[in-house]
Amino acid sequence: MSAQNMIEAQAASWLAKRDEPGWSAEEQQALDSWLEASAAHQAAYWRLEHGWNRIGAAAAPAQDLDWYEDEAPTPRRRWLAMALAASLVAMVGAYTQIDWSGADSRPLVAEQRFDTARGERKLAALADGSRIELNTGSTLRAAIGAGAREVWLDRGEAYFSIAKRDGQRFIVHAGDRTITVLGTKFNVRREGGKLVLSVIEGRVSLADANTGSTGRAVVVTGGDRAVADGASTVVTADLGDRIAQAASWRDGVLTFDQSTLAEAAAEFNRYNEKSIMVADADAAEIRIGGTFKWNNIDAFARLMREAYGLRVQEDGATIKISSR
Amino acid sequence: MPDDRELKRWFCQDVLPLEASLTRYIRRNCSDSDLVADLRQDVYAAAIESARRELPGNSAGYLYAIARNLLINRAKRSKLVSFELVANLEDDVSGEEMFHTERQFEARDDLRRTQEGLNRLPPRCRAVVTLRKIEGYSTRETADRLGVGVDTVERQLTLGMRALVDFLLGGTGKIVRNGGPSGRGVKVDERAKHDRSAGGKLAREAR
Repeated sequence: MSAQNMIEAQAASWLAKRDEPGWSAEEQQALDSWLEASAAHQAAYWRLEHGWNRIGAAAAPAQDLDWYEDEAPTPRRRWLAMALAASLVAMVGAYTQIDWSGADSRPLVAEQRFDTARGERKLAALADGSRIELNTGSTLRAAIGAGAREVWLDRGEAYFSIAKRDGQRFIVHAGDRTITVLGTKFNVRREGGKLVLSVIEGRVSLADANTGSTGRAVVVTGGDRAVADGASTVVTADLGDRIAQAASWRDGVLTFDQSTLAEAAAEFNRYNEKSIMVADADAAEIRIGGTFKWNNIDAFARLMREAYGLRVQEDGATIKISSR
Repeated sequence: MPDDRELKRWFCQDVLPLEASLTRYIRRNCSDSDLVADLRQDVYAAAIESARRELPGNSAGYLYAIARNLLINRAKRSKLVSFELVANLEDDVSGEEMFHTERQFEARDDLRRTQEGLNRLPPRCRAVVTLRKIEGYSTRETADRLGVGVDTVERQLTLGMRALVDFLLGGTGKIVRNGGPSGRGVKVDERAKHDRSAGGKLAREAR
């Protein structure tokens, strides 16, 4: 076990004991000494205590939430009539009804709009608790109301983390496709007329907006990727952990797995003002793999020269790559 | 100089809300996903240590600087020095913008997050946490109700506590056991990938 792992285990142990009846002054002194011994002990203990207190407060909304002042909360015994975690679900339901059914008496829902420039990323936190991360060069419009939740991905790419809301669907319009979800995590990428949908977790339904209810919708689940182009939709299933690569941009990296240099260059160019140009067909066909920070074009170009023996010339706002 | 109460209050209110950003930052710059939680704790300890003298005005910037220095030193000291990594860390000036508080935490967020976190726990662990923490039974009473030993209850409670707090603060909520994986991460190992790809032979010759 690592040192930090052990410290956290000790902190957890202390915290569990402190909540027990029979916590004595001697034990409190021992805890104080242990805390004083190192900043690492304090970090671990304060972090767990903070989180644990919030968890306790979440399960007991009637209690005074000002628990920062408490050094040791008085032992609570059965202050709730709830028997199981299932009761928490009922409480979540109650909260969603009260807080989100909205004081909105207007028939139309205000539309929000989010845009990102080249190289920019943005987080859109919606009123229902859903979170959408926009990648470079994207535009998203959102209309979240009491009766419906809809967004339009007009261009670019976004990662969706959709909150479950009482069985109410969340709808994403992307070009001529409609994605319907209940609560899940997925990535949508538009490239001209093509749509690439990668589902990380949960289930979504992908349909052609033109055929409407008469057309057949495709169900795409966690680990699947769907590519929709014109009339066709192709689903690649069971990608497992690799599906997460579709969203590696959220961590600031681009992942290539047997991509051609041409494809990699095009991808970098989405994010950067400085662009990579591959000058000849031979170089363009080279297959590369690896994970790169999207904004480190220079490192990528250096790598092409060193690892693949390619010629790299910098010319102002362009990096030209060619075979020797 | 802040006293312990002020230091703790600063840590809980200013630093912990940055945990999700900090974790992502560390994960991006550390190829070993098992180490991410450990490094995060190192950052917190260093932050508390330095803040003892004076509480910083800009906590996000402060935390970012500490994390960055820690990662740079670690990268330089490691046996497998990754020049890419060190260069990336040193060049990365945009990293600080990504250090932000993940939304103002409100009561309903905690409730939802707690529920979700509980759902992710293994059944026995969830039962122990529910009885001990939600219902407020003592360890002895919990053990009796579940028909297990007091040691089991204590162990399941601490494991559940750590997983739940992890999840609440923005993590994956996975249970940490002795020496086991403490989080999920994308393994970044450019060298291994180069060797497998078409240019691998050239790369090896170049070295």
